[in-house]
Amino acid sequence: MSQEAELVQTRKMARTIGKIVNFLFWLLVIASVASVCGMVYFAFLPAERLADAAQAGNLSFVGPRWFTFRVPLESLTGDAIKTIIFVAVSMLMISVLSWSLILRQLRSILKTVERNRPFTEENARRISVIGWILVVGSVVFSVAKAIAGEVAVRALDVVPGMTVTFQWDVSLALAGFCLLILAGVFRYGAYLQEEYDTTV
Amino acid sequence: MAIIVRVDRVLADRKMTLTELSRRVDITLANLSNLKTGKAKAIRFSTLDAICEALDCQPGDILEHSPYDEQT
Repeated sequence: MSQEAELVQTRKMARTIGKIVNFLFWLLVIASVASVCGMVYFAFLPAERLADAAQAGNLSFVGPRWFTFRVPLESLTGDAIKTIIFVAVSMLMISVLSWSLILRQLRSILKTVERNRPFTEENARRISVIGWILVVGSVVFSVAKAIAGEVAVRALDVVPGMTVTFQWDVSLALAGFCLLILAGVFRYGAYLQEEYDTTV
Repeated sequence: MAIIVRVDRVLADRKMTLTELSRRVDITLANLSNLKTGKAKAIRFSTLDAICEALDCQPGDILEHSPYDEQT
């Protein structure tokens, strides 16, 4: 395939991926707003209403991977449910906000690929922003998960003396470091592009 | 830069416009204008060859070195 045809195909691919990323971005923006509203709603919801709903069997939990054990019905007091829901919504908010920020940067990068000008200082900065979000996020997500687990276990008090362990997400940090290196490559690419543009 | 581009002078001698040169050497008018105004950082040998061919001159007629002009 010729270089020109390859560039056209890359631009087409960037346009398609850009549409998907744009859709996901707005979905995450809606989810962010919903999670903030959810946090405010549950913060002011009377605990008794949640306890009544649990006793009546109208409340069910779908636990994430790090929190999978059966909770006896008597442990589901209104305050415990409120705490767990509050923690779960907070976790969702952190995750959704971080991903929407990443997708926002990705959307801008794809737009420059579509315009055939990917090697710019702005793109290098965008890639390093994504890299830092992943590096810092790998620690923040892990700490938030451990805190959320600890709070949930304490609130339910099902197993006395049970502790939640902290586990750092190495793969996420590694991906972040790779992107920081890529940002450096793009910075050099931007320099070369500038040299090329000013050569007649 | 210490290198001064004298395309305008050679063009005047040949009674040729920048647009006509652009058409002859197959380089965009914007790029030739950048070269003329000293905005370009570098010039390719192929471009220099094409300009010299079109204007029937030597590279030295187009480019001049001025040790006192340190303007970037």
